[in-house]
Amino acid sequence: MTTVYEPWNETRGAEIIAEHANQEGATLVILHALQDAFGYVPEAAIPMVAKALNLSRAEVHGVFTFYHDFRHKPAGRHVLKLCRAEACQAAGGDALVARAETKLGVSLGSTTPDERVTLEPIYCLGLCATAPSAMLDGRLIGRLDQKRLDALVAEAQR
Amino acid sequence: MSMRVYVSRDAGAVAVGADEVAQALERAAATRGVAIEIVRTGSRGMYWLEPLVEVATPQGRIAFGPVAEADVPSLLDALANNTPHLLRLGATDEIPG
Ligand code: FES
Repeated sequence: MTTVYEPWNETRGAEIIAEHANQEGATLVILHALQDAFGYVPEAAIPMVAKALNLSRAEVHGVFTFYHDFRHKPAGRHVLKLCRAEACQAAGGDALVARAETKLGVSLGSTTPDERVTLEPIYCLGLCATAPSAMLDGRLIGRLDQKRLDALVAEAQR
Repeated sequence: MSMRVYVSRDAGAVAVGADEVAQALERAAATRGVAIEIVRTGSRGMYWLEPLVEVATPQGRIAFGPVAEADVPSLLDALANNTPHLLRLGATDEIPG
């Protein structure tokens, strides 16, 4: 699932904001639309959203930072999320996280220097019964073990 | 008469390989010349048994699980010859969920 995003552009950003500004609960809708277009929510867009919705910057910033799915900068081409919540920890998830970090050469929460893979923590995918769990570009994977993890990492690096 | 089997297609089942199992069933049945009807259904919420393969019989559905792709040939053997199988769980309705 490689998506091509447009580079940040103020005019385009303003268009996107204007398109959704009259909706109920427009803040989240606009943040999603910005991220869908640019792959992240550019910092310059925050005051623009605030102005369009007659909110303070702090309010928009608060919403933006509350939801961890909103990005401050573009992700790598693939996003691999490893579950760090209780059931997955109990099922050996920590060792798999360490293995993924070693294989990719980055720590959780960062992107490889070649910008291919972003490795992120996630807190419960609802797959506790088949823990440890992961998600690669929106695809769920349960009963993760070393072999399946290695396959996922290899797939993400392609 | 074609054999009817049920394989869940919900996210929790697909996450542990239900799609691969359904495809393997399709392929293996074709190789053997067995008529098979695979119904992609909702899961029964027993995720620890997924991929769960349920086979329709006159006595109701018989469950096997968790089934891996590699288990498919032996599973079809057991069904064809009516012999025991390690993954056989009995009547689905009687599994304590
Ligand atoms: S704790 Fe990992 S899926 Fe629930």
